[in-house]
Amino acid sequence: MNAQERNFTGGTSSRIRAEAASWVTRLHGPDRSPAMERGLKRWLDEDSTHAKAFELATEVWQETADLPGTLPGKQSRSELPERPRRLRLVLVCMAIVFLFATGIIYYSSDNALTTGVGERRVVSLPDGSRVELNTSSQLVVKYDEQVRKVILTSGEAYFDVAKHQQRPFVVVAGEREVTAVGTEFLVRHEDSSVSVTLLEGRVAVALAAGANKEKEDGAGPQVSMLTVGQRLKFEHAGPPVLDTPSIEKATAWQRGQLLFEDTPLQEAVSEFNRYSRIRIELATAELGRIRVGGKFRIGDSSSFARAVAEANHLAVIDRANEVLLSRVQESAAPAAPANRNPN
Amino acid sequence: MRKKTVEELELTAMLQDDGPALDEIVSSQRRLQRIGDALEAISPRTRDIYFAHRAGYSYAEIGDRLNVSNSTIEKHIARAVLALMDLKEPE
Repeated sequence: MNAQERNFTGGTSSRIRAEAASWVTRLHGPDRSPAMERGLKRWLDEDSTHAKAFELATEVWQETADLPGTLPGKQSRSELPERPRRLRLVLVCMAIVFLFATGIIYYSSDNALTTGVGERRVVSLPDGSRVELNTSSQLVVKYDEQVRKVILTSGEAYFDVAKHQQRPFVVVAGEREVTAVGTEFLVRHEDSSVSVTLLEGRVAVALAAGANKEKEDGAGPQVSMLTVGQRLKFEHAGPPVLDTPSIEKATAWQRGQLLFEDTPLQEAVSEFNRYSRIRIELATAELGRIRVGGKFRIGDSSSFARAVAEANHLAVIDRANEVLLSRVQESAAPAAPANRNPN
Repeated sequence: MRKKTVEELELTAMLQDDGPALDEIVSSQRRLQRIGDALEAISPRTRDIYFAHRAGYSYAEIGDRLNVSNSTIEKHIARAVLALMDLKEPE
């Protein structure tokens, strides 16, 4: 509202504002009824200042949607009357029942979620965001009042972030951090490589607090915005690389699958080995350049090895904790394959 | 396919911008702080109840936790809305 308008209509009196606040509250409360709505309509028709005040109250209501609130009353505040001990116990029990009943895992401070090799885990965070952890991953949850921060110490995770405009969701992975408000994305963190793939909405990727800032000097902007479908990948010291991977492929692990399409065998084998204690090994580096394609079940290294072997006339040798792929003529003496093929 | 550089990406992002930028996120954090302070000035309980309700908790959940009636919760929420109206548009 500009100053001129204000002169025409005058400020709404505090009584009218209080009534408007009450109407908006009741309208969004548990006792809303047709009779109440008729009452509101009568009130609005009584005076133009009512409608104006109601509009302001509605704006305020809409602007404060998604406040990062929690159920109050767990910690006793000084100005509140001290509760009897038994009641407090009952409240604590109720809180515990509530948390279990809703399937929400409540994190008091630092809580690590981990997955073992081949394991996948879906977790609901206290704000309603959903995380799906891929194999061999660790995620530390550090929520506070201002920021919903999680640290992907290692591995890969899919994030479906609940919308909270005022409380950004930040994923720290190595030296990078990804900031989102409400969106879906993947983060993968292995050794010094971090990649971020945006599936929906928008995210900002920046250097994490405490990372070596000198690294970025003259090497591009500090903050990169991603648009849907883009993947930004940071590898060791090299410059960041942006591409648009197949989303079906990037999210296949969530469906328990691995998809390959004209993929070098070496890369496919590395992917398989993330998920299984039984490792696939290639007898020679030259085999790594064979191109493979297809849809495979995660963890079923043996079937994958056999399918590749069949398509490329390779031999499969099963050992205790590994499956070795080699050229057929090499299978007779697989003990020292590297010596016989310097390629 | 040629891979884009980060600079190109940044430019694309600026052209296609349709969501909140980082500075908007920061300013919204400040706004949140202001809202919290304004309600805290009435009473911490008003603040807690309003935040909890707007975060999606029902009157029943809040009432059970604080052992207060629906009409008390309603009064706190209405008081909070009034305070935020005054904050947004001082009389």
